[in-house]
Amino acid sequence: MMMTDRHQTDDDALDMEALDALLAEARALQSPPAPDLVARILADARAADLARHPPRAARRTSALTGLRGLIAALGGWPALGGLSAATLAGLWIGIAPPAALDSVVAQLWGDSVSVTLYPEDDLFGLEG
Amino acid sequence: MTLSAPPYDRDTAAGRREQSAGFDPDGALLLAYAQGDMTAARLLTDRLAPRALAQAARMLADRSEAEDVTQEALLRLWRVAPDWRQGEARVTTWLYRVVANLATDRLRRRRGNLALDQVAEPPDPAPSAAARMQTEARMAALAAALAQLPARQAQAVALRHLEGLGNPEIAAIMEIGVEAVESLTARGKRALAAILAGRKAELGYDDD
Repeated sequence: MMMTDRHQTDDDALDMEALDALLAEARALQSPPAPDLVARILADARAADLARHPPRAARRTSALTGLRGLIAALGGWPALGGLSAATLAGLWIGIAPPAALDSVVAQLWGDSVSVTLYPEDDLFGLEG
Repeated sequence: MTLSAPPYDRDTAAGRREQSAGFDPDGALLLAYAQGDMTAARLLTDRLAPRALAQAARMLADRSEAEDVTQEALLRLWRVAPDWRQGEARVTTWLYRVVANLATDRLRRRRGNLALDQVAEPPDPAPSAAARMQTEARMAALAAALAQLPARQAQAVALRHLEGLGNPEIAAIMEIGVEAVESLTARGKRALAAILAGRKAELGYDDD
C-alpha cells in the first residue's frame, strides 16, 4: 500500500466526527424484507412446526394401507391362502357336517339343538 | 434502500413501556407458535424480520447475505420455540445475539477478500445513481472495516453505533458486563477509525 507523507497524528485516523457521520448514515438505512424472504421464513416456520406436529391425516393410514398391514401381519399372501382354505373348510363343515361330527353334536347338545341349527328342510333354498 | 418505521420503536413511549415491562409479547407469540399457531409465526415474522434484516444489512452491506442471515436466525428461533422459557430472556435480545454472531461469522469469512464493488443492488432506486453508488461504497467500506476488527469488538460497535442500543442492553445481548461493553466499544471505534483512515477517498471525505 502506498503511504502518503502524512503526519503521524490523528490525521492517520478517520476523525471521530467523520466516523460518527458514517455510522449515523448506516444506522438510518432500513431495508424492509422482500415478500419472497417473508415467504421463505414462513415456509421454515411451517416445516419446523410440521416436524413437531405431524397432521392427523398423515398419521392415519388409509383403508388400503390398513388391509396391506393386516395381510403382512398375518404372514403375507401365502399364509393368507392357507387361512382362506381353513376358513372355507370350516364354513363347509358348518353347512354340511360329516355324520361323525353330527353324532358328537347330538351327544353334546341333544337332538333338539341339532334340529335347530341344521333343519331338515332346504336351508338355502338350493333344492327345487 | 428506503427509510421506514421499525415494527415497534424503542424511542417511543409505547416502545419504552414494552421494553420496561416484564411481559415479552414476542415470547408469548413464540409459545403460541410452538403450539402450532401459524398466525403467531406470521406476527413474529412481521415484528422481527425487519429488524434482523436491518441489523444484518448494516453489518454486512450485502442484501443477499443479510437475507440469508435473517432466514437462518429466524429458523433457529422456530427450532428453539418449544424450549423457550418466557421471562428468562426477551426474544429480541436473543435475536440480536444470533444475528450478531451470524453476521460476524460471515465478516470473518470474507476478511481480506472483500471486493468493494461487490455490493448488492438495493431494491429501491435512490435519488441518483451516483449518490447511491457513493452510499454503497461507504457502507461496503464500513463493513470491510468491521470485518477487520475482532468479532466481539465488531459486535459491540455495531450494536452501539449501528443499532443505537444502550450499554445495559448490549451487555445482556453479549452476555458480558457493562464495563466490558464500554471497553469493547471504545477500542472497536478507535480501531475502526484507524482502518478507515486509508479509505477516506472511498468514503468521500478526501476533499476536505
